[in-house]
Amino acid sequence: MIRFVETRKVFPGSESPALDGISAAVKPGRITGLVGPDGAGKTTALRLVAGLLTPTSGRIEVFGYDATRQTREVRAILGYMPQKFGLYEDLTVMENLNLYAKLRNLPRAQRRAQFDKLLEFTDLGRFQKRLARRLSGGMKQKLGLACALVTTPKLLLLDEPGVGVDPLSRRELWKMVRELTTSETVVLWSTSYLDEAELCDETLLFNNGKLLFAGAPSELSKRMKGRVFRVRGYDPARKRSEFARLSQEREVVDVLIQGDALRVSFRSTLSSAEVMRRYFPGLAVEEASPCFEDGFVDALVAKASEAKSPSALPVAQAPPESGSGGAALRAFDSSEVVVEARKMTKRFGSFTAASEIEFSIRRGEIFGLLGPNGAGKSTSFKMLCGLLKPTSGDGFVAGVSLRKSSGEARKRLGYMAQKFSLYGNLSVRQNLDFYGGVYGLSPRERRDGIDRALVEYDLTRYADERAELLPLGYKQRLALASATLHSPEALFLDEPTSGVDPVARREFWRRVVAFAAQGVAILVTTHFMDEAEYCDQIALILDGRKIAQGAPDAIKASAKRCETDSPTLEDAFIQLIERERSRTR
Amino acid sequence: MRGFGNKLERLLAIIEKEWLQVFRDPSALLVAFALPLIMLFIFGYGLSLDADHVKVGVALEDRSPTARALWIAFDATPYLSPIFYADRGSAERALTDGEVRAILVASSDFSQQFESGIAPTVQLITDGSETNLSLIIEAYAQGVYARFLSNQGYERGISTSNLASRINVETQMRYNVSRLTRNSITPGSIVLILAMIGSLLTTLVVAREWERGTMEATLSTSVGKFEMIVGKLTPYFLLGLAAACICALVSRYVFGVPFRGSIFAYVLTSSIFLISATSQGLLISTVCRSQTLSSQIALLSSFLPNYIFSGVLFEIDAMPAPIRALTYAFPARYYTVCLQTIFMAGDVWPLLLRMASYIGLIALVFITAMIVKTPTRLE
Repeated sequence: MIRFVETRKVFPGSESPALDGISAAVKPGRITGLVGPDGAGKTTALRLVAGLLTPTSGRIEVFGYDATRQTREVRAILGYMPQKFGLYEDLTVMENLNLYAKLRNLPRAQRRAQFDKLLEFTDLGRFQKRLARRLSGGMKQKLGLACALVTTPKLLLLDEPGVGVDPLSRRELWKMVRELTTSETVVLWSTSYLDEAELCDETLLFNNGKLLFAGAPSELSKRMKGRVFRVRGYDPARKRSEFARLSQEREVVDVLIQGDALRVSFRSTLSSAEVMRRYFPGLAVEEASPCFEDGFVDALVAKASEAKSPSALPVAQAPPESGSGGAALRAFDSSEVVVEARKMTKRFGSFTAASEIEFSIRRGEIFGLLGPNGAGKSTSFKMLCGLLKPTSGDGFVAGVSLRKSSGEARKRLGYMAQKFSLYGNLSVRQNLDFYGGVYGLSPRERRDGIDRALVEYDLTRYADERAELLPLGYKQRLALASATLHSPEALFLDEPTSGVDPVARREFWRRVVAFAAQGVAILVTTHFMDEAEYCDQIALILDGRKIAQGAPDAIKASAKRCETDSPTLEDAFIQLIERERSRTR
Repeated sequence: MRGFGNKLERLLAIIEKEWLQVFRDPSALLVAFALPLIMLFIFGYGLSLDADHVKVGVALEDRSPTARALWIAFDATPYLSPIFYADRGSAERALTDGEVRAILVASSDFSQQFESGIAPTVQLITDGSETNLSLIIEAYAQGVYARFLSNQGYERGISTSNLASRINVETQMRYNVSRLTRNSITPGSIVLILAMIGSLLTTLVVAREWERGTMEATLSTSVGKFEMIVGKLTPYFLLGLAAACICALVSRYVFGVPFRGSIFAYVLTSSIFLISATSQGLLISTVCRSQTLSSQIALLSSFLPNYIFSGVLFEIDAMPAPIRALTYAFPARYYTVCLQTIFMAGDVWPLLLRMASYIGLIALVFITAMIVKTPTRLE
């Protein structure tokens, strides 16, 4: 059992505390999720429990020991899996297990049985002699967990074990933890995936070092009962403008696109009849079962409006009604193809990273590229950006061949790379100016474009601040502003929202949707299934090949096992992969 | 007792892990075994390579026909390119200007000595930074003289047996009074090699663990400072010792350098030096936590100073006083004395023990600092 008592941690040189006076209790026999976006304080909390950091004030009790002063006792009962899994990459699977067994003094007599059990659970038995470096992300994660569980610890700390791992491997991990821990084990599991939080028995919800909520995830969802609704029956063309209108509605806490439907949550409890009458006359409205994320966004919005802090309520800030350019909606021909992949194949030596990938994106369309890690989606994405030359086949952006004139094609597109690729030591204005120059804008166009972007993206007060000092959400805005300064016809987003909190993610998607409404063709890769719902079309890539394509609702329907089944997009995703794998095996 | 058994088990686990990592990482083996051989051969051969067409200034203070005949003979050898100067002054200026690399001066009584059967004296002045050059030029000069002698005998129709069979070369080095030969440079190069290996091998090990996130996982176990320090030092210390043995064997049997002391003395002093070098490397690595930074700091604080202040390449007595004082802080200085003694003189225990205790003292400072700095937490 763990107790946080007024625990506060301020890192030297940092103004805001990483943990701001947390008090909470964690019970054994259940999985407790430390939930929150990057920088919320999850890792700091875990490290404090492990005695790897000392609190600035307050204390932490771990099974009656003081985590800071009785570190030795705490570590004797601890299993800890840090981010990046803590494996020695140049040792084999077995050598890693052996090392941690010895470091944790597992008696020799018990080793064989314990290793056999762990290898069976992790399905790593076949790879005992393989170097950890040569394991896939999912296998590394399992081995990391096995190393942490080698002594069946009373306290198991897992720091974002699901990061960068596809949903299939994540599910297997949950199963392992459930089965390998006992009713006395305290499990702390940190995650920034809110859907993962829902699987926890208990959650501690963090944001900016503060504890927003403690309790069962269903409790948080319960608060939203009677406040969340699904609205169907939109004419597809109107869905986006309706989405933009609703996000500015005062009574609306949150609005999401889910395939053909909108999901709206309100500040107060309403009946569906009332919702229909007041907001959606003539449409089908049904009450939706609220999820953890609804509760999280509600808690954040409530907190922000009560604190009135400067970062308050990005949700309520007016999203750009018409995106960059500020111009009114342009009329565009929505049948015109802007981006096209024609049998694009990329081989690295004998390895085929992408095989005959084909799809096209029309004006105003959002196209999602999904797939597990290493499936080939980044390769396909990079070929379309003109960053990798296809081995065979070709890609086109606005009719320009990437094979023949990738430079020309690249000018027609805006590219937002993973981790934003900003120049940290340049100011916001200088970054914008640089990208304007790269995309070949004249000095005058650049100046006008920058002035407009600063206002639209609410970056004016940060204009002369170094980019690396911006909060993550603002970095993301700046990256999007930089990629769209030259009003491209196509916008390519590579995992644009990883690590950003849900509120900033929502705001980001509002902007993306606004770009689509202007006729920009958008290609996006993401790990978040709820983001895939914003897409008009999604393509699922596995082992270098496209195994499925369609509208999110169609994909979901294709994974239906029976009439009453209503799979989520993630279920569908996992099922399609499993189906494909069993077919090829 | 159980606590100690557990500690021992953890220690052995860390040693075993480091050992496995060394053999999985070709670069560590390269540093430990290939690098010493390469350096030893560079020092052994590179500094005593024969030279062709060495520009030598020749100054004639004796203008007799005999003297002239000798100096003309210099023109005939392909190994030297003589440039003649009328007097010593202009030849010396040419040496300082770098136009010639050495000068030979025949004194005014050269032919007089020659005729009377005394070995005529020739002065050889070389640049002190080119330590082996004087030996080479002296050998060439003797060769030229031998040929000149037989020519003279033939011309004069007399037996050469009553003429001096050699010239007497009086060597002067400018700017550096010490003379180095392979015999003294080889033990010196072992010092440089071990200083380098000791710091190169260890500076990366802890920093690497910080960068890869394995330090965090290790710290979360019951591993304490003792296991962490000893576990990481031992494998690299053994590796260094293996390199030291290879160096000794190559010096003795490939270069034929005498080894007059005992193996025990060699291993003892080398061990103490290696403990100091590896613990310094480990300390740097522990403090820096980044591989790039720590290898740069190791280069600046360990490798280069040991190189410069060991007395192998630069004569300590010739350094300005403040810098000379600085050399006392670097173990390489003492280790050089130890090795030169063991190789050239034998086990002079009073000297060896004194030097070894200085190195030990420095090692103790590093180890103490490491005990303080080795983390049990992340901050």
